[in-house]
Order: sequence, then structure tokens, then C-alpha cells
Amino acid sequence: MILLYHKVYLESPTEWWVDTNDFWRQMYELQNYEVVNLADYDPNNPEQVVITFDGIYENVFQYALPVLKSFGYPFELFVVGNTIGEDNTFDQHVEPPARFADRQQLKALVAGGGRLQWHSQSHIDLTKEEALDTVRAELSVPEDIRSLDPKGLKWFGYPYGNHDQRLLDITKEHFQGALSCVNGNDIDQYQFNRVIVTNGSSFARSTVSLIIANYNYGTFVPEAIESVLHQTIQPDEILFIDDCSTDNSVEIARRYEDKIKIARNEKNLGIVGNFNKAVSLTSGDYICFLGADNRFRSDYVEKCKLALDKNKNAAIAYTYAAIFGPRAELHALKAKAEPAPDTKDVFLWRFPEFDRSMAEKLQVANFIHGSSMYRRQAFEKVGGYQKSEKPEDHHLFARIVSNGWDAVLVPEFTLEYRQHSEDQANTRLNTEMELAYTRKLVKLRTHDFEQLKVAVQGRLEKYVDLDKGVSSIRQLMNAGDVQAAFDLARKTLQQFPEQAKVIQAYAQIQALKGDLDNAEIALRSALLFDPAFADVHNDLGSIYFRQDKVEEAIYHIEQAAKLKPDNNIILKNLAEIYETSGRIEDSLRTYQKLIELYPKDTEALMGLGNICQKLERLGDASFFYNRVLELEPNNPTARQNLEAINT
Amino acid sequence: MFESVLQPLEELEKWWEKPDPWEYEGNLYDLNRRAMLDSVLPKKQYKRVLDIGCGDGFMTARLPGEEIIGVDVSKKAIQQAEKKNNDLTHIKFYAHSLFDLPTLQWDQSFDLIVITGVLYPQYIAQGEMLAYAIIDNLLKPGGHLISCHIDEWYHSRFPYITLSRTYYSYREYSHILEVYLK
Repeated sequence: MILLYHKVYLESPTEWWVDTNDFWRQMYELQNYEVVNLADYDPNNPEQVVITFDGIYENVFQYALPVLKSFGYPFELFVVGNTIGEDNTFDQHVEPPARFADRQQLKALVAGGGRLQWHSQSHIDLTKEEALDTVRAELSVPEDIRSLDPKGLKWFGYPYGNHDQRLLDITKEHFQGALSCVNGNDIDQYQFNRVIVTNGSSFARSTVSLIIANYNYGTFVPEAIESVLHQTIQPDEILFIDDCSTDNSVEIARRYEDKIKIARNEKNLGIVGNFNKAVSLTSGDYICFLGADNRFRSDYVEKCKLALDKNKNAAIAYTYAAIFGPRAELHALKAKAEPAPDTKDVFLWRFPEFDRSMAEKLQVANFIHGSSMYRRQAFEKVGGYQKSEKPEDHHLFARIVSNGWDAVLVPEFTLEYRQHSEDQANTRLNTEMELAYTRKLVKLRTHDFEQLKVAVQGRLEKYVDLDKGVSSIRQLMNAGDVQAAFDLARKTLQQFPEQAKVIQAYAQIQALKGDLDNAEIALRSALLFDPAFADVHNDLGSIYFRQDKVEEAIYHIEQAAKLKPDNNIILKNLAEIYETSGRIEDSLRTYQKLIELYPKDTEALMGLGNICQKLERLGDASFFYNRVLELEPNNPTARQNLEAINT
Repeated sequence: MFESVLQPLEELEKWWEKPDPWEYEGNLYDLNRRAMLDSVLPKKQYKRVLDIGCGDGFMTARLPGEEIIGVDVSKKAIQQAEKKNNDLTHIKFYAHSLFDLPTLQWDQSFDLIVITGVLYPQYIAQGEMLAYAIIDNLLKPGGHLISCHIDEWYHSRFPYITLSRTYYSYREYSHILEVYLK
């Protein structure tokens, strides 16, 4: 395969330009081939590639050369004699301005691995030129150009790719071979074909599925996802799998929905079930897992994919790890990882190189971490992740290796392995304990409610229509006649003792009367009959809030928001309660959602303004207050706050 | 029709006609930015230091190093930097873009590189990978790279060991400040 480039630059205004990111990726992918000079090229060898440029444009010197040098590739430069150091005046009607390389730049290109070849003196279509002398003159290389590269100028590139028998015969007199790009073939050295490369061209020989595995890693999730999205070589597929978290991780992951796939397990499957499911949802040749509390260095995919591409016997590519986070030092001590130079926060964890004698050792001691990249083929052969006394990943890798595959070490610290703080673990534990306690409480209070029901029964008249009853209660409440509403609610409740909306109305009246304890009991009962009643969760949350039971309040308002994600009253409650309990980021996020749904909600805008003001992000605070004033020019609070900021 | 995301150099030069066009001096956010850099800088003596995107040298003179070079794509910015620091003989300023650096003849090895406000689409477009390659060529093994950018506009992560990564408020944005070890 002979590749043809023209211009390489930071962006690509037309199809003749390849941008530097894509150019770099293509050079990366060519590491799976043998990149050779034309002199060494064998068209029957599908593993060989020649990189050629036509022009030669200055941007090849400036933007392609550093990349070519970093990969150490040879390349061929087909130069047009009379354009050296000139402008592209001839095609500026279709192409943006682009200067041609001057002699100095051509020299630097040759010194950097390039070989000069000839693309004619003035780039005219030689099949249309009648005068033989002119054709011969176009093909002859002036001595001063020849002196730029004594080894080169033995191959010819047909202008516009066009050639006929006459031109072919003359070319044979002057050159060792010639390239076309329109009607060439892979047999005749004087008409080899070339593939024109564009941004989209890919020479990859494998695909990668990267899976981010999450369980309650909420605040760490963005760092994990960002680390994947910034990979120098993008995985072909990114899956975020959540094993039924109880925190807001999935909500956080959804911010990246346009770039990654998200799957959430309805039930917690545990590591084996979850990992096998994740693999089954992907299709890449290579698979790797990243725990959502860790990060990949930006060259993780680049290095591991290449290692597997290059080592056909290896089914696993494993790397070193850098340990970071508040408990890094503790873990480093255990793992015998050394501190990185010039810091106390990061530790370097090295693993031994693999050889067959290590295969035995792997059965007992693990030196291949769970975020190693492995072949799907091997995974399938050994039956995937399985339950065992060893950690699941260790067990999988040990089975793969004992099935005859090798592992290959990538000696780079491309896994960034976070050691959490105790706090982090404890907070989660606390939440779990709170929930257990709350459930117990519900059961106790239900018993109380049953007794209450018995107490009111028998004193109530019969009532027929449920909806009418509830709406009458609400009318009385709105009218301010709390006592009448209360009497009617009691009556209705007797008729419909298990209807959550009646109980809710009853509870609201209790709350109006200031009897928060009874309101709480009633609302809890309502939830027993209808656990998915968003407004009841919201009311109960508000009652708890008034009782200063913040954890419980947050739990129920969050439940309400899950059930009715678009309700502005619930979202506002949630934002406020987050703010009060110091969860500023969560509060901000909730306000953000509100604004997305209700861009003109002045209360939400005020709330955002307040938070920003507290955070001393005064520019943002003014922005939100000003927005309030656009909608409500007379809003006194917004005005006062703005004045306070400006002074 | 193709629309370039790159900001024309003439526009930048015009911008730099007035001194301190971004009003760094006396701005609390920028004073904080300088303090943050001080706080994350590894405490060590550096020999050769390169400040890429140095502007008028707002940070350059504070960097530790026996020999410091500041580069900025704007000639006007470099003139201002030279004027402000004309008493400091260990610092030199040159007008070069990041992408000019591999073509220069000077000693290409540094043990500290600082890059501030450069890796944005309006300056590098699809140029991250080339930027990494260029900086990798300039930075000695074991050297430090410090990158300081507005997070919302910055899409880079260097393939080095991250010694620290800090986020803090900067004007109406967030700044991401990274210290890398090659």
C-alpha cells in the first residue's frame, strides 16, 4: 500500500488537507505495518506501506515532520521543481493559500527521514504535451535540486496521476519507478497506484471496547469518564455500566450520554454477573475495564492496543499503576510502591515482566491488575468471569494464561489507581444505615396509624365519590377553613382508608395545623399504600425538613424527584434542601436542571444567584440576578442583592 | 463552506496593542492563579525553564530556573514582556508559536515547561497530538510540565504521570491546573 498525502495542518479546509490529530492517529496505526522507502517496497507484501507526499508544501515541514520524526518513519517527497519556496497561486481559486517548502525546509525534511523524488518541473499534464523535448525537460532534475538529496530523485510521480504509453517509456529512461494515483496497478513498478489519504482514513487492525464499571462512585465518575474521553487513541466503543447504584452516579454519567453508552442494572448483579453482562453488551476485539473511581492516563488505549496488536500470542496487556488519592501512601506501603520523584502524593507501582515461567506464579500471586486490556477471543474461550475465591479478574487472567496465551507488560504508569479516604466509605455506609433505620420507622408508625384509624372509625358518615371528596377537602383548605377541611378529610378517610391521596390531604391539614408528628405518620402510611406517590414523598420530605431531620428529608425529596423528574416544585425543594445541608454542587446541578426545563423560573434563578453569591462567584451571581430582573423588573430581592454585589 | 476556528494572528496583535489587555494585574482571579501556581510548583531548583504562551510575562519572572525562556505567538506581547523584565538577565523572550518550536535551532531540552492558556481550539484547532509530540521533544525525562487552562475550553490530557490536578474558580470559568512528571 502506497499512501498519498498533500497537506497536513491544524485543520482541514478541503479534502486535500489532513488535520494533525488524524495524521498522528494514522501514523500510530501504521505501527502495525512495516513502513519502507519505495526502493524497498514489495507490492506483493501486504504488510508494507510507503508514505508519500506531493507538493511539497511548507505545512508538511512544519506540521507533519515532527510527527514523522517521533515515529521514526521513512517517507517520500515528490517535489515540483518550479514551486520550491513559492505560493500556490495556480490553484487559489479552489484551495486556500499554502506556501511550498523552500530549500532549507526540504533539507530539514530529508534530514528527518524524507527522501526527495520528482513530480516534474512545473506540474503540467504530460499526456497532453505534444513536444517531446518539453516532456523530457519536465522529467529532468536540475543538479541544484539533486544536491538536496544525493540518495533520492530516483522515482517519478505523474502530474495529476496521468500517464500513457509514451510518457511511461520516457519515464523509464530517467527513473527507477513511477507512481500514479488514478489508473495505476500493483504490478508494474512504473505505474504503482497510490491511496489518497483523508481525515477519515483508518489503518487500524483491531477495535477496542472500554467499559467503565460503577457502583456508587458518584463524585469520582466525571474524572473517570473524562480520562477516557481524552485518550490519545479513542476506544471504538465506551460503555458505562452501573450495577444498581443507590447514589446519583447514573445521573452524573448521563451528562456524557452523547459520547458514551450507559447501561444500568435493575438489580445489583455483583462483579461476576455485572462484568460478564458488560462484555456481552460490547463488540470490540479488545476489552478493558476501568473502575469509575480510577482514571486511565491518556495513552492507556494507545499503548495497550499496540501491545496486543504487536504480540499475537499475548491475550492480555497489563501496565504499571500510579497510586493517588488520600490513602495512596497506606496502599503504597502494602504494595511496596515507591513515591514518585518530587511529590508525596503519588506512588509508582511496578509489576514484573511476563514470561512463561511466570504463568505458574500467576496462579498464586497476582501481578496483572483488573484494568488490563485483553482479547475477547480469550475471554470467550475460557468462559468469561467466574465465581472463585480469587478476585474475579485474577481468576480470569490466570485461566487465560494457563490456556497457553501470554501476557505482555506495558511498562508505563497508565492506570491511575485511586485510594479512597475512609470518609468516602463511611458516608456511604451511613446512608445505608439511615435507610435501614427509616424502613424500620415506617413499619412502627404504620402500627400507630392503624390505631388512629380505629379511633376515628364509626364517627364518620358515609362518603361516596373519592375524587370529589379530595377536591372538596382542597377547596376548604385553600379557603382557609382548616377545621371544616379536617372534618371532611376524616370522613373521606373512613370511606377510603387505603387511598394514598386522601391520606395525603389529611396529612397536609395536620401540617397546616402545626401537628407535624401526625402529618408524618399519615404520610408514611400513604407511602405504604402507594410507594411511588411523588407528591407524598415531597410532602414527607418537607415535614422532615421542618423537623430538622435532614438526611430523611433529602432521601424522600430525592425519591419524589426520581418519580416526577420534571416537577418544578419538587426540584426547587430538592435544590433548597441540598443547599441548606451544604451539598452545594448537588444544589447547583438541580438548579441547572430546573433552568433547562423552566428557563424563566425566577425562583430558580434567584436560588442560583444566591449560591453563586455565597461561593463568591460574583460574576455568575450578577448574571442570574440580572436575568431575574429581565423577567421581573421590580423584583426587590434581586435588585438589593445586585446592589450589594456592585458595592 | 469551511469556517476556520483559528483566530487570525493579526487579531491577537491588535489585542496586544494595549498593555495588559486581559487586565491580569490587580485582578483577584489572576493573583489567585499566580498563587495557585506557586502552591503546586514542586519545590526544586530547575536549570532550563520554558514558559509557553507567556503573554507579557505575567508568570514568567516568578518561575524558578537558572535560565528561563518565554515564548508567545504575539510579537506585541513579547515587546511588553521584554520591557517589563528588562532588568532580569536570566530570562529571554521570543515571539514564536508553539508549532514553531521544533523548527528552531536553540537547545531543545528543558526540565520545567509551563504552558498557560494555549491549548484552546482558537489557537490549536485539531492540534493536540502535535502539541504533545512537540512538548515531549522539548521536555527532559524526569522533567515537569505544568499546564494551566480554562477547563471548559481545554481538551487535553498529557500522557505523563499526573502529580497533581487542581480545579479552582477563575472569572466566570473553572481553571484546571495540572502538574505532570515525564
